[in-house]
Amino acid sequence: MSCLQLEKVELHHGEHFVLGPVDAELTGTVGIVGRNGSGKSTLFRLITGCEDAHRGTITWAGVPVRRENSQYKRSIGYLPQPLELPLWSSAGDLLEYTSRLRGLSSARRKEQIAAVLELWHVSSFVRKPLIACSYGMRKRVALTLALVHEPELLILDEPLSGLDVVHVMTLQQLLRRRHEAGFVTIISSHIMSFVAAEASQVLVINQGAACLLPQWPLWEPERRLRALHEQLRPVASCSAGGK
Amino acid sequence: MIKLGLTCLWLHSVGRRALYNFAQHVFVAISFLAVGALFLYIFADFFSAQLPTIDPQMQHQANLWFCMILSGLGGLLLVVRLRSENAHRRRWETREAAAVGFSYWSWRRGESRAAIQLFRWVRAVIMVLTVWAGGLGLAAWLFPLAAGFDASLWLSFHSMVAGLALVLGTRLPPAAPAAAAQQISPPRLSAQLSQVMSMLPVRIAAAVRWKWQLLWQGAVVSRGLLVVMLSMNVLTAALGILGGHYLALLGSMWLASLLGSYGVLSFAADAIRASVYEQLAGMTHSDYLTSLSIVVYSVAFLAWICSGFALLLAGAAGYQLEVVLGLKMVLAAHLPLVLIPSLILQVDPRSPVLNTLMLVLSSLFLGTAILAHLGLSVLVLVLVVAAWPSCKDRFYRA
Repeated sequence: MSCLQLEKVELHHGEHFVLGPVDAELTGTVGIVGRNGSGKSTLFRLITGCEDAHRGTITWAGVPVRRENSQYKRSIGYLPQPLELPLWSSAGDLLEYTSRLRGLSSARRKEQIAAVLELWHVSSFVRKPLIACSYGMRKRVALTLALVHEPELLILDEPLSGLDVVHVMTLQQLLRRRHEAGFVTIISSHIMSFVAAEASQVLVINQGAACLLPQWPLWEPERRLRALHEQLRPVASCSAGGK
Repeated sequence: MIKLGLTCLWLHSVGRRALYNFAQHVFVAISFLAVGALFLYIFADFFSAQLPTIDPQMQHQANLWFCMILSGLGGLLLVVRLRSENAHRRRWETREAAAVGFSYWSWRRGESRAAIQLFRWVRAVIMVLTVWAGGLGLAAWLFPLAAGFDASLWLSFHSMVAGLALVLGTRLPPAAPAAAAQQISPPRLSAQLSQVMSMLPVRIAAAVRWKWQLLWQGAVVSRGLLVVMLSMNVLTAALGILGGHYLALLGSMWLASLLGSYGVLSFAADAIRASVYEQLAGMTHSDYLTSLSIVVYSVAFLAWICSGFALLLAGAAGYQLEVVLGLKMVLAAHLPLVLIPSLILQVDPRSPVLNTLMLVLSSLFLGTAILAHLGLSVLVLVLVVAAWPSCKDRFYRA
């Protein structure tokens, strides 16, 4: 089973620490929780290869994650928040381009595109420019783009926002299938019950410092939720913004 | 094939955009043609009878300056457009601009630098050719009577601007990690200014502070244009010292004001997107216009001082200029900035380009009147007073 390894990862702007040091070995479905501005999105920028850490290393399947590592970026699936979609393009165009970029063969491309379109109910507006679509529709398009090549590493930033109840269930089923298949999925969410139910590991980030909750996989969902609340209570009492 | 994939995706989106808003584009084109035809009709007598009687040397200089201004504005617009489409991450977070940032979007998904560079070149060449050809066409149509007009000089200038746009539009960010983010702070208000602010109603004072902050911390374009506006006044002084025609000095001052206006309009377009917060805080239409006017007139005041200083410098160097003409020039040249609060809510405050065109037309008409007689400056007051109620409550519809 592959894992995403973070070793003493740090990011700072001048003398101002933004993140770290973070030490973690992420496998299975990983939930990342923390307050607004705690450093979740910064961590996502680092693990998606959008920015390089000032200290420490991030490795995926033994290969260092760097800003210029295009091969790594092509291999992962990423759902950003905000969605970052070229709004005058259509879902069909973006899927075609993304699947080519991911290196899928012609036959597999057709098969995969048809599968994600059906799974996320995008077929009805596949040729419509995204500017004419609602936020929920755009979110589903962004999910299809992240999933079209069945990535081993999937990173979802706030996946639930904008999704209707049917697609939340689809997402839950997908996460469970991926977990059984041994794929790695990293989710950032503020919905504690979702994280407690789906995550096999939880990384709590508070003012740039991160820690993995120990013994998490052995607990029942109810106990997980209680533990999450207990863990976050001291975080909630911290003042926002001061790092 | 994959190298051209990004370019094809962009072309496809451009086509889709054109078709999606086709009716609107046709309507805008027809409107512009109608305004142009009206302009020609109004000035038909001037073009056919009065213009040929003007000294050919003066005609030549005026044509040249007008062409250069046209070309410079076209180039600037192009650079702004190209830079915005090369989108930085922050643009995604701050605005939901359509078709912005193909390079960043694809880079984040693993597109190679070579493919992104190829895409930027193809896109920049297409856009530069469009503007270059459009500029040539417009000039050929506008200046058929420019006898003795030195086209080669203008062509060289036009090509230089196009080349600059091309280089700026295709530059990729360095491969090395980005430097640590710099926090830019707006200039602190002086104690005296703070005292003046404390005399304003609280809502307006807060709105002025907020807008002032936005102007300084907002788009790079605003700050860049304000700096260019100041630099253009250095050109005014240089032209005066070199003994240029007064129209040349007027042209550079007017262009400085227009560039500053574009900066102010682009910041105002950003601010109006967040107008819902102002509305929820109880800002009224007139509160909004008052606060905007204070910020805009502060910038105009800065421009007036710069232009006055440039003219004084030229005068000290021996440039002969009557005081009345100098006053007319300073008043006429800065009309674009002065007219912003009156025009911004008339059509669409979110479109700086549209508002700039309106400013160009209005300032040309009013500027001509002021140059004809200083007393006609009263027309500006009439416009300002008439514009206030004519856009009543549009802030709430923004």
